Amino acid sequence: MSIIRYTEEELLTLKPSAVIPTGFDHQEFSRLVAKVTEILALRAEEYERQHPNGSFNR
Amino acid sequence: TVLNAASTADKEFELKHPLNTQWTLWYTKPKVDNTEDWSSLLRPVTKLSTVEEFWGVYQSIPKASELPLKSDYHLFRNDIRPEWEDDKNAKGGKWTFQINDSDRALLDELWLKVVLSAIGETLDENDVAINGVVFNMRKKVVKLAIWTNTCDKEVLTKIGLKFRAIIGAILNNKKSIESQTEEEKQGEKPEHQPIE
Ligand SMILES: [Zn+2]
Ligand SMILES: [Zn+2]
Repeated sequence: MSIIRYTEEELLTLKPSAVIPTGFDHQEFSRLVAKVTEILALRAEEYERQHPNGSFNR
Repeated sequence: TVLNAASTADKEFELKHPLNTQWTLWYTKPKVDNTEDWSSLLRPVTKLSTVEEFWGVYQSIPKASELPLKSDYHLFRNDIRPEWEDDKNAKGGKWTFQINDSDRALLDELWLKVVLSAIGETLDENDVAINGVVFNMRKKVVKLAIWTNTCDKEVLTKIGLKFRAIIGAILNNKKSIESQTEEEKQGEKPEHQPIE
């Protein structure tokens, strides 16, 4: 069986034909990442409040 | 008419470009609560079978640079799990590249090029030796890696050189834009880590 290969240029040419795979809920995934980002940011903020001279952000 | 509908469907089918194999995108979620264990943190996000689906996923998910700390993206062939315990990885090797702080602005471009070379099957010349590619978002070091199904020195060396060429092209381009002097930077050489 021969290998199906695409150069970077060939792949980039197809960018405008993008389709979301059936059944993939990309909004749900993005919400998950956003939620984690928010939790980590709140936690970092809280840490800084509790350790005013700490080195959380070096 | 029926005839028109059929020819439209044909055309759409024709426009799909199958990838050599199916790929699975995995995400490692940072731990935000003590009840979570590793197995619940690593999760498959979606599978992709065509070039068109790759772009659909790429354009709808957060960019690598937008991921929170301690997150990973893993793009692995078929159902290979992005863990050494997977049979397909157990006898393989990996190349790792660390992105310097000064090059962080380029990390999305670096990751995209590595991913494109993986799904386009242009990292290896003969058989399919790539199992997957990995992006690790960390506070101090951001890493890109290529996992292979073999530890064969010749195969790995070729892949390592391609990997370095892809990265080198982007970093050298930036350097010439900034008219910086050429210098070997620490951490910009892919390093082979055998898993024996
Ligand atoms: Zn085509
Ligand atoms: Zn090895």
